[in-house]
Amino acid sequence: MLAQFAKLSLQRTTLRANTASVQSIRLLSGNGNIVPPSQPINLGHLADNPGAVTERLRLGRGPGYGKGKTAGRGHKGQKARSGNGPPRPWFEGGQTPLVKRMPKRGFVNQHAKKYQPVNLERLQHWIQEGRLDTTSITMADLLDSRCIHKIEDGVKLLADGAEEFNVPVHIEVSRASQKAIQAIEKAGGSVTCRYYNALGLRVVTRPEKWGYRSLPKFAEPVKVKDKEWYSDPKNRGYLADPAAIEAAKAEAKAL
Amino acid sequence: MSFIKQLGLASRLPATVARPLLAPQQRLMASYATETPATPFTQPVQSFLRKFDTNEPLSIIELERSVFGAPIRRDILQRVVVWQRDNMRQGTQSTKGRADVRGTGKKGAQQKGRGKARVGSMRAPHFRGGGIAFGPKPRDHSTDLPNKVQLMGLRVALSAKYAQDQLVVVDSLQALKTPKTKELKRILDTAHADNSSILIMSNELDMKLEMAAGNLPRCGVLGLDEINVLSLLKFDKLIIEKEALDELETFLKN
Repeated sequence: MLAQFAKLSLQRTTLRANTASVQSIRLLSGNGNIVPPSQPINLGHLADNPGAVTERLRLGRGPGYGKGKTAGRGHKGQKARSGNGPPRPWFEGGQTPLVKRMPKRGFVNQHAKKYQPVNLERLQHWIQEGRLDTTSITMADLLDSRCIHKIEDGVKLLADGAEEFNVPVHIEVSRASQKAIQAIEKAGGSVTCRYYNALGLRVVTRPEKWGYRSLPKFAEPVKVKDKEWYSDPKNRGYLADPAAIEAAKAEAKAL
Repeated sequence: MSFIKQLGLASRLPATVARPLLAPQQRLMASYATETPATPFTQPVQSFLRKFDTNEPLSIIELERSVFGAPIRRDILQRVVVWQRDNMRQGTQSTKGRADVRGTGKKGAQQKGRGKARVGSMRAPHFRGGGIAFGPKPRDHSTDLPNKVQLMGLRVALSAKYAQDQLVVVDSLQALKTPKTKELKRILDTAHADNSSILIMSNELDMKLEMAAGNLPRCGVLGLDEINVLSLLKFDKLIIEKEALDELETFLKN
């Protein structure tokens, strides 16, 4: 058994001209790329990477430091005093500030819906790149393929790029503009507009959060305006009569 | 999608030009490796399996490269060691501030008319016998370190031991028959005559070893569940049983 190790030690001497006896087999293993480090690794030779820590700023500790004496505050005045400074960001010394000179106007609608816009140009680009499947596109597909980056209250389909749109898609969104509907149907596709509340969007985009439990039912629109909108065949709403939708499609084709 | 088409084209090329259809990563590795063939699996590193009492090599064993051949990261070792030592701090240093020092809170002298500096409490920091300003109080110095960094620290420390020829894998620790310090000292002096400090690691609780090593300053004993970077770096050599090493590898390899 010792003979085979003698042979190995001979191999080592020819490779590296080192007369020390074989302490380890390390250099002969693998691609031979495990070498002892140039500096030993022990408790006396440990350091973090340069730039990993920066010295903190200690004000008022002598001129050599650069921030001694006045500690970066200049000389006297309100700003140099402890506990003092500008009272409010927009304060103008007592003169009526700009924010107060302007009149108030209007109100903010707390119930307004924010739909994420998707233009036909972007949709076509995603389909041609292979990032979207044309057979059926839902809002979850749009989010997962990064066509939209977030869904707040839903997705609205808009018609930028309608003239060059020629892919037949079957898409379901929250809202769609009239021009977008016409362009998609002209290309041979179909649009369905469906009402989703916040819970509904969560079910559509993250069904895995329900695990083994059954998914909740989708809610119907609550407001009268929403019910009317989704019952209108012109909007291709999901509550509209299918026959009326077919009639609207035929009418659009005839034009 | 475009490279799929390229692979499809390759099969239609004449035999002299067509190469075997490899995944892009395999093709990249094949261009770098000269002696070893390109494989998606890493090659193991090798070590001697030795006898505990004589340090004589018995055979060659293979070790996981991800555990014993990992790139050396000194900064990771530093972070883990600092975190360990912070957690070991007792944190019982304490001083008395101006509120704690014994003495009254009465105003020391009248405010005006003395011709001397104004005085409030006689135990303020600038007074003789006064309290300490912002002195240490008993507190917890422990910090958190991400689990993945802790595990990486172990891998880097073991790789450092391997790279510096400080790893000794023994078949078993049965050579120590009695719990006598004399016997363990004799074994270590014959096997490791260079007076290096030794850390012995086994996966089973061995009272004989613990008792024999208790009074030996150069020798430390740890169970596998107590493995830590500070101990690995503190001792020169690591002697580890083969069984313990296998368990360690399954735990640490990724």
